[in-house]
Amino acid sequence: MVGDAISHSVLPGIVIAYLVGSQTQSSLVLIGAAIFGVLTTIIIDFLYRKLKLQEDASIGLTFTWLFAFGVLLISFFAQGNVDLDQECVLFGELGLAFLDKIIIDGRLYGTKSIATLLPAFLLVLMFVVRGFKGFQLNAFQAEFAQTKGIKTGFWHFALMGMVSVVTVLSFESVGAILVVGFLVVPPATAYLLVNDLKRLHIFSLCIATLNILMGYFLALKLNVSISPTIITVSGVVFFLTFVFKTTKFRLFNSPRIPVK
Amino acid sequence: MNSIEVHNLTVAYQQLPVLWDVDFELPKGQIIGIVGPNGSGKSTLLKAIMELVPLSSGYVKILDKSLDQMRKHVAYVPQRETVDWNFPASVRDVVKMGRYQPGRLFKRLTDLDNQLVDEAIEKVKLTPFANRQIGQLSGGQQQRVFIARALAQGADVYLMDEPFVGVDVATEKAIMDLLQAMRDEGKTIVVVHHDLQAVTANFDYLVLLNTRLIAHGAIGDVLTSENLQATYGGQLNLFAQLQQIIQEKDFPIREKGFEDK
Repeated sequence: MVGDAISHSVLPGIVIAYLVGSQTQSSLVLIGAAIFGVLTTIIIDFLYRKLKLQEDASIGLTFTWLFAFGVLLISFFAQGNVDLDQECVLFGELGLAFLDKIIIDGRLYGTKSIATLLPAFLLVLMFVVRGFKGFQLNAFQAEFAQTKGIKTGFWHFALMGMVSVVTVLSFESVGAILVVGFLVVPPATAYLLVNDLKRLHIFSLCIATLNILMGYFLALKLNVSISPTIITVSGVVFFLTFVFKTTKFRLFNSPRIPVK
Repeated sequence: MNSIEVHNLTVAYQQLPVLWDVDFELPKGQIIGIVGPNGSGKSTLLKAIMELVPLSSGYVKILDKSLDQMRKHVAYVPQRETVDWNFPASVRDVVKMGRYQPGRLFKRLTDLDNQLVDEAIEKVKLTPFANRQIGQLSGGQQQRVFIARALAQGADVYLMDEPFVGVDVATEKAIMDLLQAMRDEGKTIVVVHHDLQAVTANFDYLVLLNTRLIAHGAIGDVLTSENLQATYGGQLNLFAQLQQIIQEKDFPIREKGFEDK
């Protein structure tokens, strides 16, 4: 799980940004975190492809090492009463995201989360739509792409770069559980329903939106924390979809014609 | 002009040579079989030609030019097991990938591209399955999807890695007919094949390989017992002996489910 790995391995980036900037300036911290996010994917890729380590071992090695390195950096350089841990810098809470307002000349222009995540969303969307063929081919069969002279490295790192930047940006606004959950659960649900890559993307977005709405209003109703409720709802939706799919399969599929 | 030239090719995985000083020239417009036992470096040879594995020494030429100059003229058909067949893609989606070109990935496919894709699907007789998800196909149909993708590339030289593995006899025949039709259009087809069974008889030219090059040439000249002994070594011997024992002793080879036959 690369997203999970990134959530920990960006710590050194945050610490270094903090030491350079001497304040928890969020823009500098985000840049540091994003750099280490991309670096994480590069190291994982190197271990996996060049040193032929298993993928889970590569991920485990990379993020624990970088996380430990970040903790060491804190204890070396930020001793004493320094308010720095990745919880406070990086792990946002959806319920508090509205507090970071952008007010210019006394007018409200939205929250900081919207200001960072909306452009990121649009950029990623544009790139995925325009470069759909490249991502598709690279995901399906990178080796074949290589024989056609297509630069598979570019597509791999474009994808991984986007994952790490979006992960880091989203962590700050909505917190770890939502980011890691939403990297996986909506596409997994959509995967049960469709077998076309374009539709998979569209369904994922729709399912994610529905999950958020249901989870959010359920959390308000029950007066509980929002992020875990959304993920719980997402999980329930996934299992319901699975049950629906298997029973539908049994109900509507014509009986198998025996092969003579 | 030769379709493919391989000179002094050596490929090693972690110090262990898989191909050793392989050197040959292949003719154009023929069906060429690369035959050898498991682990003899057949697939590696194709990968080396397509520059998918690093060469320890030697060089490869395709139609007298380097691969980078000739990429549009070579189509590579990988082994069927190398992809995840649950991938959300239809037959047409996969065949379309044959028309993807570096530098044109951000653009839409043209009408000509789509026409070539449809023609390729037609040629392998998968038109009724064009919109089906690739996981819902039989092994032989999946193999034909890969061949259709190669056809859509419109190449002159086709490199196919074990296209006859895991397909039934009828499909084997269908694929062979297709290859022969391609050859009659002047294409060169290089097929990696693991044994000397039926299909080999339909090849025009053979390369016998067992890490080293054993022999290459027109099929009649190459298939000598000496060459086969050198390629398959003890294995061939063992099978021959086993066959003899089965014949002599009427060895019971019936299995469960075949009691009546």
